[in-house]
Amino acid sequence: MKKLAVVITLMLAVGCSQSGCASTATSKRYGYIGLNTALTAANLIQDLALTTECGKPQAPPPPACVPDATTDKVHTKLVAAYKLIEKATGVVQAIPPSLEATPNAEVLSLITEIWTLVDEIRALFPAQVKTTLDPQIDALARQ
Amino acid sequence: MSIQVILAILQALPGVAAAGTSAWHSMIDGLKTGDAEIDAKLEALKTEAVRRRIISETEANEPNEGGEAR
Repeated sequence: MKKLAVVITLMLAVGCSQSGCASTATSKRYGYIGLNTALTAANLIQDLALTTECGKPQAPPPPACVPDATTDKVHTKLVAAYKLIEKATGVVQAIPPSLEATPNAEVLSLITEIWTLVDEIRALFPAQVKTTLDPQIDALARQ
Repeated sequence: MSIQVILAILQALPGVAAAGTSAWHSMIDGLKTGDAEIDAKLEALKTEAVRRRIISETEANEPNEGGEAR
């Protein structure tokens, strides 16, 4: 699971992962792309947590639904992830316009922390939910 | 190296100031415009992160089924 955080960090450190943005890359742009991907991953997890909690009308029957205690852990970790995203966004906003396209070390570190949390949260879900979630998160990482 | 430093070096070079800096200024203006767009996107991203965090905070603090506090 740690592999995903490493892959994302490497992609951001080496260069822009999306085609066509290399020519206009700045540190700020790199930061935005990394944070936008991390936010999308966190949102995917939150949407899933909100609809798969056992007892909710749209939740699947057990064992595919997520027990209350697990949902609680997921949301607690999501709170931490969103706080990191907010913090990292402030750091990226403070980066001055620059010709350099070197990713900011603090932003890279924060994004790595966010992806580590994403990996930890993914591991909490039951296998049936992971089957839906994992391909979506992996697709984000490959963008 | 900051934009100001690059511009200062370019402007200090004889001949380059006249011939080259307008192109550099255009390029740097383009980067500044691009970064301004990114700033707006970052602000929207932060707003969404705050909104989502509040949802998760509420869910984490909600009593469980049967009134059991989480």
